[in-house]
Amino acid sequence: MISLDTLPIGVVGIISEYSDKVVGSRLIELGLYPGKRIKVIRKAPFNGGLYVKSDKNAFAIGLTEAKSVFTTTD
Amino acid sequence: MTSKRIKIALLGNPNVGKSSIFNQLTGLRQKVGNFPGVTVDKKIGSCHITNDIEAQIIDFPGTYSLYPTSSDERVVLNSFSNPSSEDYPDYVVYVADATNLERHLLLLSQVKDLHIPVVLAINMADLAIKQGISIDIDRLSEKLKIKAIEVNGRSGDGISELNKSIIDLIDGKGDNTSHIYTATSEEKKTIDKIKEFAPQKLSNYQALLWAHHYNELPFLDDSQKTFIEKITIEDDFKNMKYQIDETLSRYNTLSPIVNNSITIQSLEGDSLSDKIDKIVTNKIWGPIIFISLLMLVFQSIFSWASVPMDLIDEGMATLNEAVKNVMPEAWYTDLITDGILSGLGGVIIFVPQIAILFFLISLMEESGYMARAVYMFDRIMAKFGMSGRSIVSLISGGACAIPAVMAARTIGNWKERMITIMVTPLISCSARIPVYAILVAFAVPNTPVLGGLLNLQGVAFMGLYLLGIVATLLAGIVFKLILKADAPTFLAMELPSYKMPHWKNVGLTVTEKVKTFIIEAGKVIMMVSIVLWALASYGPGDSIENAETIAKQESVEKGLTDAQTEDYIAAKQLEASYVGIMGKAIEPVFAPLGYDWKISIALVTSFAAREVFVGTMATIYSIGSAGEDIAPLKEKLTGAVDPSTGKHEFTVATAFSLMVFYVFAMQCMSTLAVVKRETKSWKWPLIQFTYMSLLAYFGALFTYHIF
Repeated sequence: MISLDTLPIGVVGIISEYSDKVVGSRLIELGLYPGKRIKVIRKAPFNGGLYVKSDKNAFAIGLTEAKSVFTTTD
Repeated sequence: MTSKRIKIALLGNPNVGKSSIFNQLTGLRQKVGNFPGVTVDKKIGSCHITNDIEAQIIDFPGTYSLYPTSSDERVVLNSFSNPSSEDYPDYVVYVADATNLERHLLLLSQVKDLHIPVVLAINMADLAIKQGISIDIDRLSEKLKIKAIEVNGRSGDGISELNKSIIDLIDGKGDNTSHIYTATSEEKKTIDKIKEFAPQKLSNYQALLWAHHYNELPFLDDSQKTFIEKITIEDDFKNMKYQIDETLSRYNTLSPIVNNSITIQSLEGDSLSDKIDKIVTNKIWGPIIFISLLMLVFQSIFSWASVPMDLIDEGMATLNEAVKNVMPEAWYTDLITDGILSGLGGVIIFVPQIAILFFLISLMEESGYMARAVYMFDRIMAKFGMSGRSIVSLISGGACAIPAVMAARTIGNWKERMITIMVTPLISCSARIPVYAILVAFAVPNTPVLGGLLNLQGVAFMGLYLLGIVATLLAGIVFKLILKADAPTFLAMELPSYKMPHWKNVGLTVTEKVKTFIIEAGKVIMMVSIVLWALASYGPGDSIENAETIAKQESVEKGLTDAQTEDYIAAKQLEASYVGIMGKAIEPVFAPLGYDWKISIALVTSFAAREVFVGTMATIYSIGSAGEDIAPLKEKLTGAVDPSTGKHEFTVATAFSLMVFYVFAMQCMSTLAVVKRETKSWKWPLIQFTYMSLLAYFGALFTYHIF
């Protein structure tokens, strides 16, 4: 299990759990709940957040926020 | 037949096209009000559902669920969890995006569990078809036990059907007993206790929401909060776990329904949005494109807006002259021309900038580009307590703080929005340019530097702008430490697919912004300008008349020309007016900064707007007729010697001190009026005025003593 910020670009991860209540509940509301497949597409300039995709939808997740999201890979 | 009034809530996730549907339903019959106790706008419109049923439609802020993470979302929870709330709806029109049904149905399922009759409007079906998604509407309706209709907020297709199903709801044909989430036995314990305790009749799900959010529900008093707290401790109510379990259980129910009602013919390859984002959010190109766009925004409000602004200026001046010629010479004519008409001109002059800025901002918002800007700049701006969206305000502030402060409205987090509003006026706006120009021309020699690439005056100008930017960012850091957050700041958001902006929405946004500014901020600006006019035109007793008589005699003795005499009289009259008296009274306060009573008078008058400083100085130095030419004023300042001491009145140190003063000082009543309107209290403009004035005073004091 690795945190989302360490998931290599282009690799599909499966969301398994969250360590932050607020970020976790917002992600669930956005449809990024445990079991969903997620892929980091690119990183923002100036050490900013992650541009991720899940299904056909794109999301922006801050770097600190991404550290609280854990994924498994196949 | 008696007519009936009903309340309909328009609800849905952010970026779902809710406002298009709101505009379709209500047209121009809209107004903006307040949700109680918060600075969130409440858009209300009205429409006739049938001849005898009038509906009041409330456009609620875009929300993901009834577990709020921002003040916008809290408004929805507060209204929906309290059946006695004035905004508690009789019916709900829930708007969902066809391209992402599963997520959009989450909040719908929560609304259904509140047992408020609801109809589902599925928007953007045309976009879904392009993505190869087709929806079996009837099947979806049947499974959810909610009437679903395809609508198109842009073309208006499906709106009349939506209307029909609202009538069905009113006729009681909707199902409002079944629910989607069934509370667990542990939750049920707490729910029952809260229902028994609550003064009003609650649904199970409302009681559950009270158990989760009691501490933040404004309609509960302290004893009620304590009581619910006791219950939740007794029952070992696990806040976070229950919330996540509930949400996952909803998805478990919704996912199969959605999967059975839609078919996706997967289209291979990247979508258009992906292709655009490859360039637009690229590490190098992304920021370059964004900054270029902002430069375009800046250019348009800085220079393009000046064409209509000059026309307004000239138009008002012509009107002023015309009224003066037609009406008799009397105090009420002066009140109408120099007081009311000037004040009105001072309000209307901002309309082009506001209209252009909001036209461009709503293009960025509507197309989906703004979300990308937030993605790229959120981290940098977070260091200064602001959001990625704040950059738009800060850059616009370089032209004028008024539209810039209004642009902060789209920042969802209260703390970030407040910080943006509080610091934006520190960015040097265009009204400071005439002030900087005369002071720099006076104090800095026009010598070339860097081998003629720049000259020293240009460098001084740049320095003043930089000083403003540094102050803005530092003030951001300070406010970040001081202000308490009402919701956590974090970045986890959707990047919606790119869309053509909907022109009707753009038009309505611009109209609404201009209207609000004129009506709400305009009132304050008008009042202050009339007061300032009165203070500058009148003095105690017959002091003004005496000043005129004495000035005329002195002019004859000095052998002045007619024009010089008029300037001289104007100077003496201003000196004798209440403003003149105020200027002399505050002189001791500003003496340590190197300002005499003449400059102090200009500080008082330029509270209306900074550029007034130059005009007032010209009047006091008896060259009021020189107009916009600064050379005569510069000459006067250089030659001005205090007759009693023989020293120069206006030194280089004074000029630099004034420059620093104007970089920091909140010398703009119009901005204060807008800040009052945007924060909905006098508290924030007062804090802003105080901190910026203190910064200006001590900054200028320091500067005066190092030169």
